[in-house]
Parts: sequence; C-alpha cells; structure tokens
Amino acid sequence: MKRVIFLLLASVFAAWAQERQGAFISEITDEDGDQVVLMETDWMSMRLMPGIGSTVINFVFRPTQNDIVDLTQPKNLFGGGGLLQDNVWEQDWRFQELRGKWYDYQITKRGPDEVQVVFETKLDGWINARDSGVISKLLQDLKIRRTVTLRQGTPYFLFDVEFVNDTPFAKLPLYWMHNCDRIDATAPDHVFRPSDTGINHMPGKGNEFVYNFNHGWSARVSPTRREGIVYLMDYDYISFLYNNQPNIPYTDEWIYDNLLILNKQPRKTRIHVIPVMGLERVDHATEYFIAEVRPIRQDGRLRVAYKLTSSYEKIRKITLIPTVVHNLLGTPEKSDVLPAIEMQGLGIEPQTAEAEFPGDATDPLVIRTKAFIELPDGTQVEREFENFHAGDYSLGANILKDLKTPVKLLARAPQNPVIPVPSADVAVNRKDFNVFGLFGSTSRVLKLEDAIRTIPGVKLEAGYHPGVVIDRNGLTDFPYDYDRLFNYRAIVLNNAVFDIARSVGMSILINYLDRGGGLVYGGGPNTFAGKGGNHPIYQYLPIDSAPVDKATVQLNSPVADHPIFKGVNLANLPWTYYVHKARFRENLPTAPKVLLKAGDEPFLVEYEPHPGQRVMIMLGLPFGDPAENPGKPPFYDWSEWQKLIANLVRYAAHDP
Amino acid sequence: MLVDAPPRSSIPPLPVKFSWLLALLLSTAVLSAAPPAPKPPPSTPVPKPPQEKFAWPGWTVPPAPLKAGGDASIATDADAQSKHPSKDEDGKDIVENAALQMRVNRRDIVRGVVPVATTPVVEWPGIVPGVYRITARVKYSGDSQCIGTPIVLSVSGIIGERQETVDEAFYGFDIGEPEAYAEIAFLYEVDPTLTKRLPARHPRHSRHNSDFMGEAYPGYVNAANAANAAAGVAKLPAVKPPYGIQIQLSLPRTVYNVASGMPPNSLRSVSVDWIRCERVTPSPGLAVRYVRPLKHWLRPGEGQSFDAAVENFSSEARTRNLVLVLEHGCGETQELAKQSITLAPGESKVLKFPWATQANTPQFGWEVRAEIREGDKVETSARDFFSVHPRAYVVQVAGGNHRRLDPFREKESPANLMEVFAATPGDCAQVMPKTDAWVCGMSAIWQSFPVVRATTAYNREIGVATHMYLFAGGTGDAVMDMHIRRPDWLGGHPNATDQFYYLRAAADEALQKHDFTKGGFEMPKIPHVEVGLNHWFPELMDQITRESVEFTKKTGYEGIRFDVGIFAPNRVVSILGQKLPFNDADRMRHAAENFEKFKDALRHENPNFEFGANMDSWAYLENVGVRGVKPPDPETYPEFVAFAKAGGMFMDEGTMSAPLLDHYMNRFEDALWSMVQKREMARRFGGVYQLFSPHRDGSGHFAHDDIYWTTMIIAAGCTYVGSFTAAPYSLDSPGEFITRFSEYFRSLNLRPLPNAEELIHIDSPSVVWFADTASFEDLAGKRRYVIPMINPPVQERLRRNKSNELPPTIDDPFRIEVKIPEGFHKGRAWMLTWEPRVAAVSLETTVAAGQLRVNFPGLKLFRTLVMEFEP
Repeated sequence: MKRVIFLLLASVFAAWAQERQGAFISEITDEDGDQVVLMETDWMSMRLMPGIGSTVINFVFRPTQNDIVDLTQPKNLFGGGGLLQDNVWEQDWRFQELRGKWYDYQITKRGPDEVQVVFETKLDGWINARDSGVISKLLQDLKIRRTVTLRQGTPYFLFDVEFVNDTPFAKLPLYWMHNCDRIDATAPDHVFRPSDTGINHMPGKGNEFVYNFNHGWSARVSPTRREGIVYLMDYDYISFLYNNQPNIPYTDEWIYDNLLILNKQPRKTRIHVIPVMGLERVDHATEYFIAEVRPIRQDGRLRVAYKLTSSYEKIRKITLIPTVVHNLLGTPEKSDVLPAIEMQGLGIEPQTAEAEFPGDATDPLVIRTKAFIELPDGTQVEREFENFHAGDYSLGANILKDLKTPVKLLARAPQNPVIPVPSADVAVNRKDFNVFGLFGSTSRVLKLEDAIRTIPGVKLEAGYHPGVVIDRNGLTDFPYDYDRLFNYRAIVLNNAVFDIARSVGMSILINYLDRGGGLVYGGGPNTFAGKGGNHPIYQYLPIDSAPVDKATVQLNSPVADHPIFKGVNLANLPWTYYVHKARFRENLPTAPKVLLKAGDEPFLVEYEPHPGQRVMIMLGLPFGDPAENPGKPPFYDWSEWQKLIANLVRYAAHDP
Repeated sequence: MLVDAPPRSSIPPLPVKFSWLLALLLSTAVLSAAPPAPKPPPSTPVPKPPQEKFAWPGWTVPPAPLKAGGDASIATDADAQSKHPSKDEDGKDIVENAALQMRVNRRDIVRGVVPVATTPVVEWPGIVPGVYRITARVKYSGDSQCIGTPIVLSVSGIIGERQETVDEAFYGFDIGEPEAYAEIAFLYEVDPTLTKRLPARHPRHSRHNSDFMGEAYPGYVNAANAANAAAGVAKLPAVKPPYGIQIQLSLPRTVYNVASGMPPNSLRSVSVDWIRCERVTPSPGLAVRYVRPLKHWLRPGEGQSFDAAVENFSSEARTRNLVLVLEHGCGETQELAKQSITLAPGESKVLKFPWATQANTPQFGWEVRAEIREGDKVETSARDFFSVHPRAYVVQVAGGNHRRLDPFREKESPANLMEVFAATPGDCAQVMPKTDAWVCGMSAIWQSFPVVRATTAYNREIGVATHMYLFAGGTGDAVMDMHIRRPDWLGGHPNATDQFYYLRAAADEALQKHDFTKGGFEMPKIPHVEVGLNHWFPELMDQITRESVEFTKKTGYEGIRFDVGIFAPNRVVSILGQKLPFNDADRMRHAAENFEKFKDALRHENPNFEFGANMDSWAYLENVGVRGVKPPDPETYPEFVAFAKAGGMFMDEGTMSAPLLDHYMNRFEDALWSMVQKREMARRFGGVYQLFSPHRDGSGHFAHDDIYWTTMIIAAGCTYVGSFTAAPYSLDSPGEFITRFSEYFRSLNLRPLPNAEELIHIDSPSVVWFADTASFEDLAGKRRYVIPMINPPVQERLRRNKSNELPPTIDDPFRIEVKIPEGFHKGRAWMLTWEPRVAAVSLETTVAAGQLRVNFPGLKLFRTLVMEFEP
C-alpha cells in the first residue's frame, strides 16, 4: 500500500517536473508582501526569506506534500521557527543580532540542473545580546556566507556555511545552527541524536543537550506520518547537539566549536539536509545510508531488523554485518556475528531486511553493524556503528544501578579539528614586554590589570570572560594567531579555565608554552574549585582541584629571597577571607615551590613543567567582606600587592 | 468642488446591522445651509460667505490625476448617485451615474497606505465653525465577515504650524454586504484653532519622561531643540497653505503578520460615490461636550471629581439643567448635582463637581453621566467610567483601545495601573539608590527620584496606581559587588565579565556628572547582568525590606510586581562550595515567611501597598489549567498561598506563547477553560490572575486573536497585562466595559457555577460558549449568576485564522432558561453588553417549572446574562 502511495505521489511530482523542466529558482513577493527566494526541484520546494536571516520559511518534500515549516510560524520573530537559522552561542537566543536581519544575496545558479543562492551577512560581534555594549573581537566583522544548493533529481539539498575573515585578528565563533520545523500537527515529532550511550531520543528518556554525541548527524521524524528530516554535519567541529522542548521537540540545533578562522583563510562547513520517508526513527546516518535498526524479540528469538534509505551519495550495493554484543551486565562480555544482509542500491523508499540471532542474549544489548558499501565506480568503503538496546533491561537505559555509570560506552571517535602549527622559527618575543591577560570575572577586585600596567614598558591586551564555559557569553579576545601569540612575553589567566579558549585554543597555547611562553594562572571559583579539564594543557598546572574554604587567615611564610618579592615590603602581610585548599598532583616532573602561604594553604606557587618554562600560580580569592573582618585588611588592598603581582608576571616572563 | 447635494431623503437607509451608527448620527439634526449670499456686482469681487454644507462626487476627488490603466478610474455605476458628464456612442453630451473606483493593488497595499479619495482643502474662512457630519457613500468588493482591510475616513485640520488628523476605520462587517453602497460617517468639530477637542491624559512612565522633564527638573531645556534654535533651525517645518480641513478616504497598509495576528488584505476594489460634509447641531438646547472623572480609579473614602463641559451650539442664548448622575451595578443611580445653566450663543463652560466617597461607597465600576435636561427630557449627555476599589489589581485595566471617534474629546485610555520596569539600581541586590539618579539594573536605562516622583504623583492625581518592578534576584554592578562581599547570598555566579562591570560603572559615573537642566541623559549601551539570590539569610531579607520601604516612601510607588519568583532560598551549598546551615526541606516554608515579613513591613508604612508577581517562586499555577493534569494541593505551595492571601496578583507570563501550536492554551476552548481554572485557584485565596500578551505584544491589535484574547480574559474574570483591544460591533470598548462592570467578573466572591451546562439552557441558533465562565456569588439575601456568553471563533486555534474571519452573528433574540437555585423563587435579569454600547439592559423574566426564563436580545461576539435570584 505504501508503495502504491509513493508511486502515485511520484507521478504527481514527475508531472510537475515536466512542466518546469528542471530545477527552478526565482525571487518573488509572497502573499504577505515579503521578498523571498523560491527554489524548486522535482523533489522539493522551499522558500528562503532574506529579510529574516535567509531562513527557510517553507519546505515541502514533494512526495509528502507536507510543508514542515509553516506550522512553526517562521515569520514570527518571537518564538517562530524556520530552517537554517544563524545564531551564535555567545548571544542570548532572544536577543540575537542575526535574528530578523536582512541578508544580501545573489542567485548564482539558475538551473536546470542546479539552482543556488548565496546569502551573506557580517556580525557586529555583540556578546550577551544585540546592542549589549560589549563586542568580541573573535566575532566582530566576521562574514557569514550561506550557500543553498538544490540539484535536480536529488532528494536532498546542500547548505554550506562559509566564514570569511577580512580582519587581522583570528575569529572563533560558536556558530549555532538552529532549525525549527514541525512535521505532524497532531502528534509530537520525535528527535534522534547519536551519543556514546545510545540514541538520545525525545520525547522519552533523552536529554535536550547532547554533549556525548558520537557522530555528526541529527534527525527529526514523525512516527505517525513516517516522514523525517536528517541533518548530516561535520563531526569534528560540533560542540554539542540540542533539541528544545523534551516533550514536544521543537527544534534541531547544534553548536559548532573550534572553527578557527584566520585572516584571509575562509573556512567552510557543509550540512546535507535529507528528507526521509518510511522511517519511524533514525538510528544512524552516513553519507551513504540512513538506517533504522530495531532489535525484535518474538517467540523467544532475537531478530535485528534494518530499514535503510538513501543518503546523499549514490551506492550500488550495501552489505550489513550485524554483531550482537551481549552479557553486558556480566563478565565476560560476549559478541556474536549474525548473517550478512545485502541490499542492492538505495533510494528514498526504505529497504528492509533482518538477521536472526540463534543464541540466547538478554537485554541490554549492543548491536554493532559493519556496513560494506560498494560505490557506483566499484570501489568499496566501510562504515561501522553501534546501537544500544535497553529492551527489557529493568533500568530502561544505558546506565547501571548507581544511575551514573553507563552499561557500555559506544565508540566515540576523537574529534579532529584543524589546528594550526607554528613554524619552527617562531619564538617568544622577549625584546618587548607584551602581556595578554584573559581575565575571568572578579579579576577586577584583585586589580590585576592595574598591577600589570606598572611594569615598565608593558603593553597589556585583555580578553574578558566569565571564566567558565557558559552560554550567552563569550571571550572578547584571544591570540589564536601564532604571530600575535608569540609576541606576548607572558599570558595571564585569572579565574578562567583554559577551556574557554576552546580545544583549538588550548592546543595552540601548548605550542606557546612549550617554547617558553610565560604563564601566570590565577585561581578562583572557575578554576581549581572544580575538577581539572581533560585537555593536555591542564598538565601544565601542578594542581587539579583546590576546593574553596571560608577562612580568614593571614598570608605568611614568604620565600623572601625569591625574585617575586624583590622590593616588596613583607613586614605586614595581609589577609584573605577565603582560601583554596590546594593539593599538588602526584608524579609531577618537578616539585612546585610554594612562595607564599595563606594560613596553611599555598597562595603563590612556582612550577616548572619543562626546563625553562615558568608557570606561576596565584591562589587569591577576592571573596568576603572587609567590614566583617576589622583589622584584617584583604590582600588585594595591601599596599604591596600590585608590586608583587607585577613581579610575578615579570618572573613568569623571564624578566629578569 | 462645491456641488448641490441631493435632498436628504434620497440618502438610502443604512442596513439594520448598521442601525447604531444611524441612531448616533440622526441624534443630531442637519442645519440648513446658510442662505445664499447676494449676488455681487460683476466688477467687485466679494468673498463667498462661509458655508455649512459641502459635497463632492467621488469621481471629482481622486487622490492623484487619473491615468489610463491605473488602479483608479471613473466607473459607470447605475447604483451611484453622482452624475458624471460623458458622451454617448454618437458623441453627444450625456450625464451618467458614475463613481470613483479604486482597484486594490495587492502589491501596493502590503507596502503602505493606499489613498482612495482626497477632497480639496476647505479653507477656514469658507466654512462655518461647528459640528459636522463627515459622510462618504462607498461600496466595496471583497470579503465581508472578516476584519481584513478597512476603509478609513479621515479629516485633517490644517493650520500654519501643524496638521491634526482624526480618522475612523470601517470594516466590511461595519459597512454591510459587498457590492452595495452604504454610508460611512462620523461627527467632526470644525475648529480653526485646533484646540477645542479635549486632549487625552496619558499615565506617566518614568522612562518616557520627555513630556515632564521640565516638571522634574525646573530649568530643563530640551537639548536638541535648543541646539536647533541656536543653529537657527526653525522649530517645526511650517505647513504649506491652504489652511482648512481636508477629507480623505484611504486603505491602510494591510499585511498579514503572524506575530500580531493582523490580517491580510480583504478588498478587491472600493467605489466612492460621494463625500459630504454637513453641519449639524448636537442638541436643540445646550450640548454636553464631555464629562471626565479626575480619577480612573480610587479607593473608597478618597475624593473624586468630575469635569463637565457644556456648549451652546445654537444661535440663541439657552438655559437648561445640567445634571450629574452616578450609576453603578445594574442601573443603580444617584444624582450627584443638578444646576441650571445659561449660555450665550457659542459660549462654553467647564464645571467641576467634587464627590467625596465613603468607606462604604459601593465598589467596582461606576458610570458618571452629565445630562442636559429640558424638564425631564434628556437632550444630550456624555458619560465616562471609573473604578472604586481598595485594590488596584482587582480592577486593573492596563489599557483599552477603541474604534469610534468622539468629536469633543480624544478618547482616553482606561488604564488605571502603570508598572515601571527596571525601577531600581540592582533589584534585590540594591533596591535603594545611593544617588539622586541611577542606572537601572534590569535594563539599560536611567531613572531619578525627581522623574519617578513626577510620575507617581501625576498618576495618583489621575487615579492611576504606579507600581514598581522588582526582580527577586540581583542585577547590575550591585549584584556583582554582592557576589564578592556576600557570595553565600547568591544563587549562582554572575554570567558576566569584569568588562560588564566597568561599562556599567562608567555609565553611572557619566550619569552622576550629568546636568539635567541641560537635557536628558543619553544612555550608553551597557550589558545586562542578573543573578538569582539565595533568600535564606535574615540579613539579606532585612536589607531588601529596609531598602524597599525607604525606596517606595521616597518614590511614591504603591505596589511591587516581582519577577522570577519572590523570596525563595535556592541552595544549601554556597556557590563557593560551603555547606550552609539550612535545610533544603524548609525552602518553601521559608520563602512564605520571607514574603509575609516583607509584606507586613511594607504595609506597616502603607496599608494599601499591593503585590504582584509573575508567579510565585515555584510557579504553582503552571500546574493548574492544563487538561488532564490534576494540580497538587495548593497548600503544599505555602508561598503561593501566602502571596494570594495578601491579595497578590499572579502574572502568567508563560501565556505569551499561547499562539504557538504546542502551547496548552493554543486552542481557544482550552485557553478559556485554563483561564477560569487559574483565576479560580488564585481567587480561592484572595489573589488575582493576570494573563500575559500573545507573543509579548500587548498593543491590543484590532485582530481576531487579540479580540478573542481580550474577550476571554474579560469573560473569565481575569486581568490583563496589555491593552484590551477594541471590539467589532461596538461604539465603546471592552476596556470601558470591564471598568464599568468589573463587579460581575472580578468580584473575589464569584465562584464557578457547578454543573452550569445542566442549570443553564441556551436556545441559541448556534453554539455559544458559556459553561466554563459561568459563575455565582451570594449577596445579602440574593444569589447572583453571571453567565458570560461568547460567540465562538470559527477556527479552533490561535493564529490559525489568517483572514481574521469572524463568526456569523446571532442577530435574533433567543431564549435562555436557568434553573432557579434551591431556596429562591423569583429573579431579575440583565444583559451586560458592549454591543453596541456599554450598558446594563434589564430583561423581562418569567418563571416556569423552576426556571427563570429570558428572551436574550442576540449575540454578535460577547454579551453577559446576569440573573439575581431572590427568595
């Protein structure tokens, strides 16, 4: 029956295609008087509205004849939907500068084989909200060029986002792709996202945020209508996947990360948008196929049923080899390979096949599928994916009884974004005294900027950030370019974790540290109060974590002959009202030296992870009220404080 | 062009549905035209005497010269009354009936106003000052029973310095069937000074202060104007002559807007037969120009006063009685004053009537009426409405739009409560400013004590309560400072950087240096910081309470509306990781106690102080009014109960998303039911439930969804954060209606009428919604039923009626039978309505078989049946 319907619909759009003769593009004024770009092929029809950020305001996959965007009221800028909406994570969604912005555009291909339109805009670069008063150099004047391409005869479309930086400073936007559509008005759509604990599925047990994604796709399916849309994107640059509204998922979103855009070096990322039919869920998606995988227990037997439709690359044949991984709650884990399944070619209409497991395997299970794909030119490629199946498992999810530990983590390949490498001759500039400070919040109380500016001949540049990775805010500056980075004699981070420079920034910074760049790292609730980060750069710190304790204690035990105390009057040491209870990591390459204490806790520490490399740790916390501690002035009000900080920075920078 | 007008008898009657307009217009008499001036001798040109009657055939007044193939044309039209010279097939001169026809160009109307007809300017010396009826005979083709595109009739008065335009929009449902001519009209006072019309008063908001900066800062000079003057730039560009009045017909820009729900164009063409301007006299004796209460709202025991303006429009001195009548309930009237007044021809007078209310003055809505009587006959009258109640939130109206013009006064918004957003420098981190002017924490704006006091004082004078907004957390640099000094008091670390702090501090520094006598302060762009507070600590609550008392005393605010909860503790481990000496299980109880103490302190200073919140800290009401969800026992939410018992207003901000498909109030029927459930839950403890505006737009658009949103809110006895929309089929407005009849919808003693569907039988020709909103109240010896009836929308959901189609009206009377409650044997009934005027109409009742029966006089969109049963 389904096949009959499909053929009927196919004949409808085939007839239409004859009328139009190929892909079609036109600028039209719609019924509301708005200027839109109409793009049509034999498979789909869509309208994009330059006046609201070139958002897709209508999208019809012809075989379904269903506009999946209209219900979301895309022209309503207060909560309305639409596909391919640009945002940046550094700005509150409600007050995005790109929301409702006009995009210039040019139609670059007019058919009949292919139609294409290119939209372009430029970010002002606000942090927090449009017109907030705070501009980030990492966003400012960044061009976003969006190219939408439809090809006659292909049931998907291409969306390319290119970032162009014509400014001298490197850019690093947390670009946020926001799609909002609704397939079925009468029942909630379902969303499926891949993760290392299995498919994150909503409505259901899934979460809105998916940080543990393990592939680069996100899908929305209406199980009632058996229609869906799958987005395939670049796995290496995803920060996380997101769907708004757990009960009635409203959006399909993801945030990009590590998209470093250097001057005159544009970077492009591509999204394939693939409508699907006949599937009730999506368990995996690649460039070659989109799969629904359903373990079925019937009459005491386990069968693994596959339903596959085409993706954007044509294939001649696909062979699936399922492996059932079981006994996951016991030891040893067992795995059994099932008979191969072969499918000839793939199209929009799903092909189904199943394999039976002859043995006994209790839930939960992992179905590991190897797919051998024969391409039209005869070459073969291989893909592998895993699905966690909770089945009758009493906890119903990939979790053990502690409700924290997964039963089994699925494969998650490391992300591999492009990280520039400095040329061999780049060295830290120690002729000048340039300092870059990345100041997490509360640094102002410690007067660090004022202190650094007392260094003779110093040039201080600053980036501001709350200090922990957080939405609606972002770093205002960071020297991602090696030319700029190595021009600094020292880098100061205070109450700011390395992670806010993102993985690419941390990797770049390692290169700087390894070549002797000075580092002053200040404590605070954002840094040592939590647990240390995962990136290798954290190995350059001698402390993983140092919880904060409330205690009014005096600074003491200065190593008076150390250069940082040169010229510092240590007669009346000040107080602090909170301390970091710091413990050094074990097996450090060199022993950290405590240069000043607060009570019994370290306050200033020198550490040399590599010979010649100085890392100075300052564990001052600005919290507490001096009025509650009469006669015990805080360290940041101490007359010698700024001199001490200046010395600390100079020492880290090998001066002398 | 002045042409001979056809005799009055030739004007065809208006359709029945338009009879209210006919009644209004025929309540005045057309004056005969001035006698023709004697013929001047041929050699001495004598200016024409001023005229009182003007008419223009439509084909003579196109807005621009006609072009072949253009949208405007002269169309032969047998139904037109205007004659157009033409030639027959043989080239002979003939006269045929013709009209100006404008084809509505869809591309043009989505972009801007489409002018249809424009008369020449009738210069001031050429027209006798007085009241005129401005009429156009028009027909349209297009959709009728929808809002769509109106035909706008407007008059501009032009003098040397300025131009003032008044207009009224006429929709298909106003005009009648398509393709049939009808007249559209309004009364307009020709006044060469453009000063006679009473301007509307506008409640003040301290942020929009340019109109009263001079009052707040004596010596204030508008810097821009001063700079222009210094540069020799003229104050205002002069309006070019000729000066006089000009009449225009136009179509407003009409484009579908999914955010506001405004409809797309509904017209294909408009034909204009003629436009007329004819002098009328509003009364055979004296005419009441207006009566205006000083206060929109007052508490029992406070003083009210009324201004009544009377004018003699006739050519002889007249003496009449001016009577001031006060009415409340269903027709309970009292004469406040009666005095004889004599006015010379053309003379006018404004009289002031004080009224001292008492503690026992009946509460809720009142009508004040000024009547000119000749003996017992009322010759003319004017009226207005106001509220008497100890609590502003109970009778709150945030605004109300209207459609009809009053020739003598700009209609005033019935708003009686103004909320000032972002009132404080740091919200609960710093309520009391340390300086005379301050940068607000919640928004990039500044405020100052002089400006705020000028706001609250003026509003109090005109009976508008001024409440302040207060975020329950902290904002701005104040909360960043608190984060350092008292980290335990914060619910989280600020999502802010030091740069935020520096920019805000710089803005404040610049503000402190600013000299307000030299102009307003231009606020720089500054970032926003807000953090929840951890309201466990008595010292924190003491600080907030002390500063709130001080601040409200110094500013004159009479209420606080909280945002994002009230005073809830939110963590027992500090943001720096220390275990705090509190028990998580005590949070809700502690929050309730916090509020109780705060309330007592504020009311110790001002017993009338009021409280609102966009929900309690746990948003209890979000559990209420969701189909299929049984709400938890409200007593398990002690802060909700404490707040409601204090008369708190619960603003349901989440209802802004009702136009979205998946919102639980997206279906109109669900929305109405939900409103009633939440209102009832709040009211059970003495609280007030307030709806938010769709998509955060509280403008009160004349759009289908806003009309139903307004109607449902009123019917359900709720209040509204935005302006009530105007209503179709109404000369008045829903805002005026609920001001006048709030007692029947918002009395805190009204309770849902159980089994309303069983007790009430409505024999209407189509379905009417009534059961959810039906309520009852026991009064002294009586039981009152209030049965609001809504003619339901044709579409099920908000934002699914793009064309703004209205339901078919029920024009014929229908029977309603209501079971008489046990212990009662007889009853009286009234219809409360805004269709076409705000009125309580007594209905004849009969008792049969234990039922009280009325014949209800039809229903266009919304009317209410009130029955009072007696033993």
